[in-house]
Amino acid sequence: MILSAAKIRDRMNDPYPRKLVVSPVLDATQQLQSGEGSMDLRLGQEFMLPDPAVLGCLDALDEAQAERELTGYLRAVHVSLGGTFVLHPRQFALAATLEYLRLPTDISAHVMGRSRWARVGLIIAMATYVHPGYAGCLTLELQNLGEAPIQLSPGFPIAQLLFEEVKPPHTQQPGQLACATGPEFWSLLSNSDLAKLTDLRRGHDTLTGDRGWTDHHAKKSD
Amino acid sequence: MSIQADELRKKTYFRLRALQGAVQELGPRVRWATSARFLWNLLRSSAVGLKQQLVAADSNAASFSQVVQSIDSTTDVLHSLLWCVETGSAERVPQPIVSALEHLVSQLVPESRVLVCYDWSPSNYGYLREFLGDLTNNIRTAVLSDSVEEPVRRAADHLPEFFPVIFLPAAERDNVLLHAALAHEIGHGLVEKLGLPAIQVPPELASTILTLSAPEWGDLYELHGRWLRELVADAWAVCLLGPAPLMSLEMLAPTFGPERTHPSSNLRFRVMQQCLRATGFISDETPVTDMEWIAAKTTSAIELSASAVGNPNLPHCASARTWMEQYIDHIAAFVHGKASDLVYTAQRWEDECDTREGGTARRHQLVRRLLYAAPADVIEINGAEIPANLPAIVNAGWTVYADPQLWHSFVESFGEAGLDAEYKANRKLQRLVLKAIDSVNIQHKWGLES
Repeated sequence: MILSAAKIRDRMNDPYPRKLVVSPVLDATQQLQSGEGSMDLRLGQEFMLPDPAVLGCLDALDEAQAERELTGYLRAVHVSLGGTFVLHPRQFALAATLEYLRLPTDISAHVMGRSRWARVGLIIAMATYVHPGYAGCLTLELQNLGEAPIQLSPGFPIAQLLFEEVKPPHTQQPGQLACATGPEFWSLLSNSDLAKLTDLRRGHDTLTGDRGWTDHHAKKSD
Repeated sequence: MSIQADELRKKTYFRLRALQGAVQELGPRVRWATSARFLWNLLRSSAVGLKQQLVAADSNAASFSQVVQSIDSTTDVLHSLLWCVETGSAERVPQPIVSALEHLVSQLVPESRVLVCYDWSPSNYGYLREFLGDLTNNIRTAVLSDSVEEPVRRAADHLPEFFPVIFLPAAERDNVLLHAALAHEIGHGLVEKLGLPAIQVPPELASTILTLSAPEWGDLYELHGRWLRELVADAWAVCLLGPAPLMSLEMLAPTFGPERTHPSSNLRFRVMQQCLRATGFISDETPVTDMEWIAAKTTSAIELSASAVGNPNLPHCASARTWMEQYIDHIAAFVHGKASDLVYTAQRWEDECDTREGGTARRHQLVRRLLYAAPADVIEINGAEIPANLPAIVNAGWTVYADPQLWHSFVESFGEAGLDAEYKANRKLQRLVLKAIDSVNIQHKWGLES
């Protein structure tokens, strides 16, 4: 069940551990309008811009890359309140919400773009589900699909959040308390998948590498 | 393992992780500096070596000091290298805490600006008097001379009051709780602007103390001149932020000696404790207080420094102790007299919360938020949430970190155990405190009152 504005307010005033924390709420009346079932979120001050020149390709199985090269791939940019950030056509950037969220274990959320931004071609978020028990600022994946550069400022209402009740309450997972305070660039795969796929690739490379054949030739000879 | 050994083990481990992080960060930059490549490899292997030492020394507290020394020297080289490879790093100084402190001191010195730059030595907070302060003063003197046109003179009148440059150790840039030590450096700026108390050392006492101390300590009056500035800066720090600077300085384990700028830890902690007593954070009459851990922690530091050879504040010298107590009272009274409206008291920390209808005290609200993995940025007063202030946030962070029970439950809330989990939890605590300070600054700029 999606929570109404009144219910969201109630949950924000609940005692721990049922309390829904959204902070800071700069204008409660505007961000949480009584007729709506969502809450507006504002654009934060931290951005991460990819620099494709430093990386051949993103390889989820390359641990060395994850440790070393991704640091250079993403450039952190801080924009003060009152400053501007220009997103050019086709440009991609990671941003974060100004608000820090701490969801109780019986509430999940969905991040949605706002129609006013969608109509100028600005995509806000692609991974939209927020797990129950999540703690941290939300990372937004901004992309300008329009034809004109878009000038953004920290504090703009940029997204909206729909809260949903989860029954029965979720069990808190340690990894969910990430406490992110800016955009986060997570590893692309979970550890178990990473290990399995790395082994498979290593076996495949050895096989084709020893024979000096391409994958295509190897299949033919078999 | 004793508590002391465990503390040392934790501290060493955190520093090792900081070193590894610095090496990691340095990597992409030194790719372009071929001469630095060799050094980088050397440092990376040093980090591996240090890790092995740490593992080997796990059950032996004595060898930790060697590990700490190695880390110190390695970090020194690393940061010198960083300095060569990268300059102009001031943009990455954590601004939220600096601007919050600036907001505090502007109430004492209107239009003041606090400038903070990185220092590349480990754990070294500093105050450089002969830099921008002199420069600003020279500009002001030159521009304000009679020969200059009136509009220019008026413009010079509006030059901000710069504190000279304050340095913050680059290796600790994410350690917001430790940045409470910045309040001590800002205290130096306040000493420059607001002066020092006039305290005379009685000649007979000086000769007694000098007899007790090592001969090379020289002239007590000369020492006193240097030390008084530091002690008043300490008193200002406590006045601005409450107990947090004391905890930061204890963590930094400042050294002392005749050639050093700083007085003994014993004297410094006693001055700060007296200020805390005067502001109600520590009470002699109350046997159990929420802040008792401060007294417990500082007692060990006092005992350590008091047993050091050549310490002029030896506790067995009764007359010296009596005089020192008067001396400390004098400093505390001087600072509080200058800033009676601003001084951060325990009462202020408690006053604005509703305790009549089952509400919890303000400090507990903030601590509770941190334990819930949320930033400690708002307090609830009569059902309404208002932004917390900087001292309350920083002290709430320190309360979680320094209280073993709270720290344990904070680490446990992330569902892991071990030193690495503690390190990660520490990083998360720092983030939550920084986010809270940032959030309050934003609310302040937005027009929401604190």
